[in-house]
Amino acid sequence: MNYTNLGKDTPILDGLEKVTGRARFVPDLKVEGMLYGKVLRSPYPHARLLKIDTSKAERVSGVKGIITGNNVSQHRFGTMVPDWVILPRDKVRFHGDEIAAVAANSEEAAAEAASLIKVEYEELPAVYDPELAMAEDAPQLYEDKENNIAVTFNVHTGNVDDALAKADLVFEETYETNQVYQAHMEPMGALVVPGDYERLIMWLSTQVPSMSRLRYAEALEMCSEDLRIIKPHVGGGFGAKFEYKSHILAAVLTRKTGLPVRMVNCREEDFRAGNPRVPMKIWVKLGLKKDGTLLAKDTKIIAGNGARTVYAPAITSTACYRIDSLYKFQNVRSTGYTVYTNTIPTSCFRGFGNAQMHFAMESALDTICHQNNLDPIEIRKLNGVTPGFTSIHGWEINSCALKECLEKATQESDWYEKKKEADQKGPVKKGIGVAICNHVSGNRPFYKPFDGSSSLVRLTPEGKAIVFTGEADIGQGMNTTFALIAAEAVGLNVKDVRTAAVDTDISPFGLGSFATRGTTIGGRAVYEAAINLKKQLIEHVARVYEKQAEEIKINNGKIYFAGNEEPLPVAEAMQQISYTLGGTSLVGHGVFVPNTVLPDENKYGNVSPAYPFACHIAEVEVDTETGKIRLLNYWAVHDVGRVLNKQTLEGQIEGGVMMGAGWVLGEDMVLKDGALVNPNFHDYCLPTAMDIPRGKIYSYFMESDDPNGPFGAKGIGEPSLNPVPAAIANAVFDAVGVRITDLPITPEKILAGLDI
Amino acid sequence: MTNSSKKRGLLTISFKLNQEDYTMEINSDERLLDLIRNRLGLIGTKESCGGGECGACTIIMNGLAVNSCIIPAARADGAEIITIEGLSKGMEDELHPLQKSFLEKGAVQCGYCTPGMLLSAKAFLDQNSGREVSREDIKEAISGNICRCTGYQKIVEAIYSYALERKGNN
Amino acid sequence: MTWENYYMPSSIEEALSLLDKHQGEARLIAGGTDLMVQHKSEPIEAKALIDIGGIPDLKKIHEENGRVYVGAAATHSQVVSSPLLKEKGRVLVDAAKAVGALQIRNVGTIAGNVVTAQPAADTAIALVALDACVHIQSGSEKLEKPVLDTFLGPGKSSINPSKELITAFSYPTPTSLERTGFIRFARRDSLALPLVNLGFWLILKEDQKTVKEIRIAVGPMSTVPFRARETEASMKDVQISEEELEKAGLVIAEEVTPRDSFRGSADFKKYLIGVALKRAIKVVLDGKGVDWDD
Repeated sequence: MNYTNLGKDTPILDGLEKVTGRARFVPDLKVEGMLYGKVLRSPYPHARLLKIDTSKAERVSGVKGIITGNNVSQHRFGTMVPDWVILPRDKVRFHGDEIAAVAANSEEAAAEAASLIKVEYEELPAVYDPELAMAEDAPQLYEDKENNIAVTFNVHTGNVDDALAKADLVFEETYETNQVYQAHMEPMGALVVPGDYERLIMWLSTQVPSMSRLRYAEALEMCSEDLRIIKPHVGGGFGAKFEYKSHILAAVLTRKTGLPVRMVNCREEDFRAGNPRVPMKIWVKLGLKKDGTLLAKDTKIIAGNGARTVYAPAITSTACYRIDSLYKFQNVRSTGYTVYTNTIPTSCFRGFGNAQMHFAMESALDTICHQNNLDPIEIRKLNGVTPGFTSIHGWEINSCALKECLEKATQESDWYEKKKEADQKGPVKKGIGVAICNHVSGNRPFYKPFDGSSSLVRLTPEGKAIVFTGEADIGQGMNTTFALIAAEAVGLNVKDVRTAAVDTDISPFGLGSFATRGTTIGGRAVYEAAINLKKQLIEHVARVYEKQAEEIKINNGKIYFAGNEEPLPVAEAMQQISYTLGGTSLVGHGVFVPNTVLPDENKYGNVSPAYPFACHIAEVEVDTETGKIRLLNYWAVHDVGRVLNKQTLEGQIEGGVMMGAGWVLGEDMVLKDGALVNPNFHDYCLPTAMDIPRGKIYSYFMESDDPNGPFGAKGIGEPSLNPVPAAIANAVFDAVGVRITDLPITPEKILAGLDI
Repeated sequence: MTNSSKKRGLLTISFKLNQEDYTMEINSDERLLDLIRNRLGLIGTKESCGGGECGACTIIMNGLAVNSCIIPAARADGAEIITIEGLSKGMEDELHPLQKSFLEKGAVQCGYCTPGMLLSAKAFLDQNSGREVSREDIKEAISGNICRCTGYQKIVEAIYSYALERKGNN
Repeated sequence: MTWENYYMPSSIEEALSLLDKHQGEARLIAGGTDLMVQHKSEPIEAKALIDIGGIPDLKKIHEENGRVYVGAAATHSQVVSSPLLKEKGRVLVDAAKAVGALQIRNVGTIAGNVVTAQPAADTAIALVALDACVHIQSGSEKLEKPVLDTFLGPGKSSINPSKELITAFSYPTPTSLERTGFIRFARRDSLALPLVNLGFWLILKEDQKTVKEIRIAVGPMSTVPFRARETEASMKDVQISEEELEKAGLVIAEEVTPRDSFRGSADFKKYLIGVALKRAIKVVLDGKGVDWDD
């Protein structure tokens, strides 16, 4: 296919305002009379609230409103489990838990007032480790949650015990993945402004505008129509920016004071009370035939929910079973416990549990290959799913270029040559490692009522198209992708297309940016809207210019008729058409609700319209005297269905690889007695430019042309990270023979492994 | 402007910002970042960590890249400052070639670190105008600017390609 | 409580007279990279701040009468790019290069690094290795003392910033038989506090191989920058070789008493400091640049 707009390097369409510093994020928004919100957070991991005295705080000049558990409604609500209250009256459950919120006319007055709220606590015994929290005598966080278990997930398909009994090889290992922080550069925040008709206008740094609206309506006991959510530029999300307590607190303060309230986390707060990655302990047992054919997988996972439920249970279930559709398993069993602890509530982070499980599974396969002299590339080809395959959980694999990804990565990295390299002299050793991954592009069970999207594409009398979608660009370039899809589908040039910022008063409903669903589901809705618009445009052109609709073609902003007739610019035609329509624009409407299935009680059901795949190969160097690991080169080959924008795809991969590398090589949220020891960027070590591979991150794309994605495209956001921890861990093992099963892989662990 | 109970002094300072002269009354313990963002309304300078550890608030002060979140505004007295708004003025000005390079090479994703990153790059290249710079030099020069989206590779390439182009023009 | 005044004197005299005028209620700052952050959590108790960063005499790096002088307000970046120090103060250059990131090095000063008295402040470690003197002016009185003597405990310096102005640090100009070097291991190469760091100065015998005398400063191995005197003694008169360096590494690992922290266990730091010593000396004697970010 020849595309006018697709498959190229298209710089993001909102890049200009970003390089000039004119792009506005929530912390940059200010309205007259605006107050500054500040949250008072618990200094104890678990404590009963005996008394909250705000009298001194109220006397601070400039304070306009203070809310505590004593003057807000105590109804329960929540994302998955109703364990949220606006502010608690009874007790606090983690170091950082919200106790009160203040609105004042300066940041300083708000901070001072918050510090003057006097709280009497009765400290309670606390528990931080999910496994310990399940013990009979562990401190209970919620009275109705026995053994602190928020949710249990179970699946058993086939007969795992039988299969393991018959297996030639049985491998068993325990892996641990730690708690890490998304570290979006723009901290979480909201600006809430009282609107007309007693509505609230909420400017949110969010990846889920429409879902936030539903949840906040529940929290505020309002009709969701009375909340207008606007999403300005968002400085990264990576899973953190879902429904968030401070947004609700800002809204409550606005209602109380009748004034606009802006509440933005400082970095320390964002660390202490953000929604970091769900830490997991993963037991894996695999049974294989001698040739490496996978026969059975048995898994048990204990996952840390933190002190209240955000999305950890869904993440745990994903860890339990999503990878079962990467390989052709016949027998799988998995149990996952999402367990309350007195720690920061955990939630989504790029990879959504699948990343945690990939570390375990792909490390396990590497060890199995090493111990049994099997080829780590071949074992993945042997077991990997193929086009047309229906997985053990009923996932219908349409497009799949997994095998091609493996082949390309092997070839580009010179895998077999590098594997042959003889013993290396000196203290620094090189190694190479492989891991593959699957993911979804949309996840049917995430939002129970449906997983779909809708869009409007408006063509103005000037011939410019505006895409309206509820799906959120959070810095990844989604709006550019939507514009490209609309441009190509209508036959415009992308320079004449833009995507409007999400505003729930105007934009259609969109679940949001998660589950790598933006391009496939959101993009497909945009595609449908654009096709619908094109049909209307052709009909109107035919009517106004007295032509046959069938002979009209539109390409690159021009309308072509049969024969040698001079093409007509869309802008010119639209002007004429608009005169006949009272000056209006044409609006195309598109809906995409994929034919996916909410899994049944046996977890059977095709959850996503498309499944992306990837193969990553990492080359590292390990200093055996210091334990220091350096990335040398990295090859990432992705089955993206179709390349819509090469530049932003590469950007997602390079960002995902470094995010994964940061995780595996050192990022770690360290708790001491429930309090975070390193809530800052010098002790929480994110990768800097000096940590990128000495050589390069090479990205390659396989175009498997998915039948459901727009122009065949599938998602990229999360698969770019999923295989990274294991690929690097496997490379480290190849270099020095040390197998680290608990993240992060620190120099200290390497040296311990080397027995130094 | 505050209603808090802290007693502070008012100071008058003069400085040059984006080639314009300013004389302003400031609080004795005000941060330079707050002066730029809150009082002058130049929101291109971002706050991310508030502790001099991420570079989002980078400005160029007397030719050097510095973190404006840890510098007292009082120290700006007599200084010459460039913020992102000074790199290409207004909406009609031509972009600085580094801005253009960032844009074209895909070095921008969410854009929150971008202004600081651009200013670090500019200060570095200005200081090394007479010499060839390597990718490794560039990595070091921007290693005080954290970017969580891009994985840095395209940022390094954007700066490197401009450095090459500039060398070619010399 | 916060400062009501912020002065930027342009001469030493002016700075001293401001100190005098405020009678102990003003505080000197140089660089002040920690100031605004610290002020947020724990207000600075001073009525006025006197920023010495604009005093040209305090920014000078020069050589005089057989000593190298580094002005108190010289920034880390100035140190890194000083041709004089590159030749005659390599340990200091490499230490300054390791601090924070460029934005911090452009502001932070050597004096600031010493007065904040952190046990692993990179340039403080280098100055201790050089056995540098700190030159202090208090009123009309001038005094100097070994930099090591100013460290009283973590965050505690003997220098009173409300009375005493550091003017410079100095050390004897090294001869052709002297070598210095610095190394640090950290969790990443930029924007990180060191896991361990080490600076050394040594003078060789005429054979260019045997240690006549050595000073080794390490952090964070104690409550203050630490001189590994036992290791120094063990290396005296030793002809440097791989084996001897191995041995010295073991001695220093035994000598130091680091603490467990989330950055690394005490045992790990003890081990690493041995590797650091070995590598730092080896690299410098090999004539190669110190790969301090390794």
